[in-house]
Amino acid sequence: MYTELLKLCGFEPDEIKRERPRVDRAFAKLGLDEEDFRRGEWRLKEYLDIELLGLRKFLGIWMRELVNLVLAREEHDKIVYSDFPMELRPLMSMMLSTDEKEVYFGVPGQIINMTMGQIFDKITPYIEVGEESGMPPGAAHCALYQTRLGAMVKGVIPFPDLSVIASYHCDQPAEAEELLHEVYGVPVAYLDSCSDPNWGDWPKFNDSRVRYCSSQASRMFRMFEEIIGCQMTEEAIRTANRSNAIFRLTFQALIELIGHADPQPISQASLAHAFFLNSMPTRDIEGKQQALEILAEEVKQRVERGEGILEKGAPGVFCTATISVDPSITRMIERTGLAIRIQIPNWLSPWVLTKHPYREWSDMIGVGPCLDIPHSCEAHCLINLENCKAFNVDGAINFYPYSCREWVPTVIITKRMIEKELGIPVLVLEGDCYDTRNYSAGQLRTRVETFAELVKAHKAAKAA
Amino acid sequence: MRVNIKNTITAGVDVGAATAKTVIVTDGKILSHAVIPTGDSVARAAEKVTAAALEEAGLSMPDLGFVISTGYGRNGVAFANKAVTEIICHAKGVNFLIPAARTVIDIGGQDSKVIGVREDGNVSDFVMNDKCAAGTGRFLEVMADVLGLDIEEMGPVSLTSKEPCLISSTCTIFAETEMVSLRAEGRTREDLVAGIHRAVASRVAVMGRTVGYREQVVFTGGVAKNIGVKNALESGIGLPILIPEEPQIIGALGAALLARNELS
Repeated sequence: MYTELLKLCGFEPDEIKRERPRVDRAFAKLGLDEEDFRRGEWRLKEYLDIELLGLRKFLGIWMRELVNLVLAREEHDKIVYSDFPMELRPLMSMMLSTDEKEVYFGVPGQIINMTMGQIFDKITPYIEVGEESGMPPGAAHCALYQTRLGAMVKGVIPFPDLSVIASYHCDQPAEAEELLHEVYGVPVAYLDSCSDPNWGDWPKFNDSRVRYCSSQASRMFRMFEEIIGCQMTEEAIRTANRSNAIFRLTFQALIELIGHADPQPISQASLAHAFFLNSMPTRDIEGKQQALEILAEEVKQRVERGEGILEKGAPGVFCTATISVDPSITRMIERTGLAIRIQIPNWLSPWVLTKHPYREWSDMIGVGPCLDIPHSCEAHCLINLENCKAFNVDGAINFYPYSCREWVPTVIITKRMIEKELGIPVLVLEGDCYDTRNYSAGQLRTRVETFAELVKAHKAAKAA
Repeated sequence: MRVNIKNTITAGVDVGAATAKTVIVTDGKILSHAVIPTGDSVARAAEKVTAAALEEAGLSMPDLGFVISTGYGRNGVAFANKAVTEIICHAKGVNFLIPAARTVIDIGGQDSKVIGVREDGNVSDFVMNDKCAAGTGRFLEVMADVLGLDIEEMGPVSLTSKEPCLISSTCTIFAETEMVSLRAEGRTREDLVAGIHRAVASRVAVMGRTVGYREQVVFTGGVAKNIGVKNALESGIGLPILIPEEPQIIGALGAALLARNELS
């Protein structure tokens, strides 16, 4: 029933045969049937560059993680969850300090989004249960957290023994995990942070803020050790940092390659499957790196052959519409003839990292890159602006995700800043990163098609 | 439809949520236009309204050199040679009729837009609301129904208001409830209608601030026929507003003009 789908996700025939009992159990729990598999196949072919082996391998990693997540209680003694915006390296350090057979580590919200959302378009039932279970509709809850709660309450995935979470970007994890703790009795190791510098501080970091974050990280690690009953090891930290650095460097090179290539070699919707692994700890470190290297090589070959998904010379845009549950908006934008050169948060600019005064220290405790993102609203705006400059774009699409406390405050400021400084058109596109009920491709198409005409006219005028 | 470059007669077909409109032009002149309710089929409405416009001009389908469809149903017009968004078409249509126009406020049945227009009729910036009924023609229809008025009566009725009501809800459903309460308090029909117009205007005026209002401001779409909303908008944005003679057909007109460009 699902053989063809798993093949599209890079599974080899012998793996499908070997894994079938586990996959059957997991898919039954998820309520997936033939219609879902057909829809999944169609979506993979319709929205992604499915002919690329590297992409199929990434899809395979997500699909395996889904099966592992659903069967976690059957197969492991202890379960640890996290989710965005917790940074990957501390999570990986914790995961690698534990025994693989004993402890399951995962980011359920993100895994469900990338599979049940991206592939099967079946995310809403989880959100609805989340809404009925303490995160009601109309209260601007983040659907990422509604989804993970809904999946637990529905019994599709188990409740964890520990949740490790951070407030780098917004207050939603704190609220959601308080609910998880108070109502469902799940212990929560929480990394608090405060993102309140003055306008004009960027790129300087407030010393007391960094110290506070550090003390919070230490507290979180101690709680993890107590509850899971293990010791954080130097080797685990080193392995996490090393593998993360190698993956990020390769990923950044790939982003640069795609962003400067003409024509655009692959869809940004495909790249999202690699990007979101930046937030998911997986024990398949080798497989993840191998998938990225294969994808990078395939893209390089496309660029060398001058192949792409758009015509050469298509206007290029910077676009922040990275929707983890749905590839259709990204593809819709590309299909209007706009090349998406760079899609934040796909790329942390090297110039941002090199200016970071606490880089060495934060690298040491494993929270480095994440400190760059949530510095302030000012940093948000300026990083977006710098990305527009770095990729010499003809326009920008600034996504306005409902219920996202991190992104929303800067959307209009960024629009004005880019328009004023670079003189290029900027579209504000309303939607949601995690809840497809809040928008539709059809509804957004009028805006995007109009904007595409604006950008094309602007580019033509500039050339003349 | 086959493109006929020898024929300079072109048509624009705007299939909106409430009405379908067709305009036929040639050599910078409007030959005819027609407006009908969209009904339950985009394809049928497009055919019917275009047939009506052709009949008025004494033409038939093969006489058309190029057809551009627009509006929310633009991709459902089988005989169109091309589909273009209504935002682009409104800018083009307004620019043709009022070259000094720099801002278009378009309020239709299911959405509202504020469009910045360049001297050449191209769009400079835009903002659009199609997620919420407040600030659209639908809001007015619901309120007219509550008050037992015809939609056409609302404009003239509001002009005699002495003290417009304050409708604080921005949601159509809650505003309806608020209307019922205000009516129970004994507020006059005139004041209620004027309050409704203010609520619509305020919503659109605030939305358009990201684009900015520059003179000349032109008001299009079916709601532009409502003098009460026009007055409330002028007061909301602090600028005078012009309304074309047939505000409903501007999108279709722009589409017909763009179709003419395709031939050249």
